[in-house]
Amino acid sequence: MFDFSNILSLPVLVFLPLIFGLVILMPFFPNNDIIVRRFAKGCIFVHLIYTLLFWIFYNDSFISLYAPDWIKTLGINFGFAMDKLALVFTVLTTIVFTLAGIASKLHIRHGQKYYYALLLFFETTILGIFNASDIFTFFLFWELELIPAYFLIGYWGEGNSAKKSAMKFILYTFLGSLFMLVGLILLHYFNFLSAGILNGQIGLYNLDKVSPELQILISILLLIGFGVKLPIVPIHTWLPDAHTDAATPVSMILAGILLKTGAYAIIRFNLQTLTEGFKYIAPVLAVFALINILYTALVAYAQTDIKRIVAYSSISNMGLILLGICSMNIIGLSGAVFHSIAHGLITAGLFAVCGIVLLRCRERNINKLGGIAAKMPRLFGFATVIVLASIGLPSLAGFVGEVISITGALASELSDYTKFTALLALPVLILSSCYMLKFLHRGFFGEEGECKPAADIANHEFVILFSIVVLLFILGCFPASILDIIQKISVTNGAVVW
Amino acid sequence: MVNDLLNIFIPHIILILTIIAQLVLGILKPYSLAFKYKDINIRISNVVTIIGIIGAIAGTLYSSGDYAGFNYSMIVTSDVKALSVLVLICGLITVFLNTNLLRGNRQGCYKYHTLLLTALLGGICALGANDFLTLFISLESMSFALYFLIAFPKGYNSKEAGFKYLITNAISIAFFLFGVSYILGLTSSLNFTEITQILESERCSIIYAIASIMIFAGLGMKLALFPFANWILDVFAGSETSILNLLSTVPKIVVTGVLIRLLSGVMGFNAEVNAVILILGLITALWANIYAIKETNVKKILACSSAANAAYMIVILAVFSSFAASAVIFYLICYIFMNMGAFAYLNMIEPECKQLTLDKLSRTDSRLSASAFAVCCLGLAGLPATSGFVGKIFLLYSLLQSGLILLPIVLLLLLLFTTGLYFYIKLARSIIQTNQTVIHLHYKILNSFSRPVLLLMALITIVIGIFPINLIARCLLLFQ
Repeated sequence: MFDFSNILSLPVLVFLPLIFGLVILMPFFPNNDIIVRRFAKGCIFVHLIYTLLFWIFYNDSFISLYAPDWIKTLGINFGFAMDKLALVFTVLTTIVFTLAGIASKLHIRHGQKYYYALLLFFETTILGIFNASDIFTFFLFWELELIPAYFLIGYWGEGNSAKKSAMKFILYTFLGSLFMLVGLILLHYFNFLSAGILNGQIGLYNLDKVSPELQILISILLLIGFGVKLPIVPIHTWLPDAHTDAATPVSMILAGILLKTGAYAIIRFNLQTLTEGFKYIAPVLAVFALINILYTALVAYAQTDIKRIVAYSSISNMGLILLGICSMNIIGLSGAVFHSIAHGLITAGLFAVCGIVLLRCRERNINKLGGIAAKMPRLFGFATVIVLASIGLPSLAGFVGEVISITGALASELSDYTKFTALLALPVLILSSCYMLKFLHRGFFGEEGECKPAADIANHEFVILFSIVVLLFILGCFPASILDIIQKISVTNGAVVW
Repeated sequence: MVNDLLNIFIPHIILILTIIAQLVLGILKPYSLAFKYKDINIRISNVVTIIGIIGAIAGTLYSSGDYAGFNYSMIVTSDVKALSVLVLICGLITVFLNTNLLRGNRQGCYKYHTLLLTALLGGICALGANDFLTLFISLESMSFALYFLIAFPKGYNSKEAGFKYLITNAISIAFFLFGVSYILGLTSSLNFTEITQILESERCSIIYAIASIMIFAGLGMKLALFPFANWILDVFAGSETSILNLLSTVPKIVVTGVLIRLLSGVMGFNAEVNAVILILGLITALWANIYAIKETNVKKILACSSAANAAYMIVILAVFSSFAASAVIFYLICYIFMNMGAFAYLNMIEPECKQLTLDKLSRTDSRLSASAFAVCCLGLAGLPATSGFVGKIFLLYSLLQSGLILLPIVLLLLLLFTTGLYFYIKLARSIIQTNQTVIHLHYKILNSFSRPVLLLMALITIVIGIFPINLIARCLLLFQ
């Protein structure tokens, strides 16, 4: 039998979309919109299959597979590695990008060539974040992702203030990532002082001799960078604007994956590398997570714009993920990882629903919508399942993530405050029902609003929503495949075995 | 002996010969009227200058080893050679961009080249100077050539700009000489090596600190540092882009090189001096970045960018170490290439696009050029895959190496970088907007060298950004 592991290469995995994007930009490529779109979708789909091969033929040799020198004098490599955590997020990325690529059909009307090239470039940068093995490679992709994200939000946005939102997004993220850069340099340098070798490899940091105070400082600097992406409440204000003004497929990617890079980075750096310092920070961060969860849930309830409701619900759910990470035990962490995946799919689905409504009705104000269920029964069916998954109905993916994250925090051995925080976070289960059911109720039931949708969902939209619903059922009924990736976690030395 | 001197002075001699050649050709100018081709003088003078500068670059690279001459008033070391080559490259690029300028003043082309070569000669002499007198004369010959170059184009604005530069420079040079006179009084010597030896054995007095700060203030004017910062806006707004290309790069390289020499010797004996330098650098960066937020004139934005980038380098230099000096040289190299790319684009569109303001800035029908300009702007902002990104990592690394005490300064720098990102992105955005009138480039502009220069600079920016390793290793070797 053909040995597939021979053709599985991490640099190819990361750079394949970029190469496809460059092919689209080449002068010889036909300027026909339909050809560009079909070619791009084909590329994204091929890449999805390639990623699934990684899932099927995963073995431990992917860890530290490729690491040539980049800036040798500073011990910086250009390296890629993949463990199970990275694998899970990589698969999520390619799935959401495939769905977003399909969803682009009706939403993107101009500059298709550049749009799809940037979309593919965006995919490369996000895969780079998840698969980097060196801290500066990680940082490179973290910053690189700003460029396609800025143009995708600003130039293909739906709102009038798309450019302003894009600028807000890039300024917040850039400032945060510069704080993060300082943290990374300090991490790198103090590792050099204590271990004696200049090495940027993420898994190999030895911070035993670095004092907890210093670790806390580095941890806080890094958290400012990650917290903008996650987002954590005081620095979240870019998110509703960017998500609302971006085109639907871009919103799907932003909420589905971009926020998860923040969660991934907190697990990788704060939890795994700076464990000693994170033990002190985690209870405080749990309070921030609580504010995230409750405050944005209340704000989401007060919104009238359907995309803004979904955007705020994203922040609330990211708070749950953060709470799971802050518990620093195997249950909470499993729940956080699981909920990242589940929420990535749910929020992509919700934005897809918003996009479909927006296309048919040209209206985002929830008070002017209504009665869509009668006109668009198929959309209504899918929307109901996704909304119920978001609320946390058992047998759907959202339930598992929410419950396990909170359970993990309740079982946290760090301090009693974390347990108390988790108790206070429980009302979110009701609050999320309030705003999500408001979304469903006002939008789909009731008297017919001002808009009159002409037709039910088209075939390609059916594919998007159907695949999301199927995945949500599979994850909800068989959660073990993802929950089991964390086999061991030791709070004393930060060893997490994936 | 003669051989040694020749080794040092090959580039200088070649430049002087080229200057003489330009003057002689200027005398012969009336005879060229016999030819029907009206650009013949421009072509001849350009070719002579290009040959001269390439000869000087070859001469600089040819001499190997360290030398000292003229009673230790001129030295040649590896860092001097590297920076001299950089100065000459900037001069070369400026020659390629001068078409618009010289078409507006055909009679003056030989004068223009004489002045340009004098500025370069002054620059490389100042880099090699090991003596305050040599330094003063070299810097002034560079600055004098620059006044006339700024005032060279026809029109009122350029004269005003040249005069402003002259006045500010005159004041700053007075500060410089005042400081030098104190040093002379303290040590009764003007030679850097002797002064360093004398100061090493003595306790530093307050007079020494004052003198060092005065010298720094005088030099800082050329980088538009805080006390003398305002000139840069008016001068940049009134100058022609190819001159700006020279004005924003050559003095920066020269003053950085001179400061590295001074801070590692003559000015390096009092930590308070370094603190003052640090604060002046931070104030300048703050001023420039905040000013640029609301500014709409593209040349003024680039002026602010020029002052801010110089200030970043000064902040790093204030925390003096050999690693910091290497980081500064690396950043300097990255910066000048990105900067020259931006000016090459402006040079391309300036004749067609009357007003260089953000809302009136039009894009050209060449998408490649617009993308190259955007690459240069994003590089200046420090986004990855460009040289600016690696340069910024390197700068912050060298600051943090000096310990956590500098953390607040680093955090302030982060805010400034973000402010910078705002106006660089605005600049890049104004070029690639789709709802603008499109300039169809005149065939003469397309035939000129601006476009190849722009593309080359964008390419260099990306190549250094992706493969920085060789350049970094060379920069680190300079100060070991």
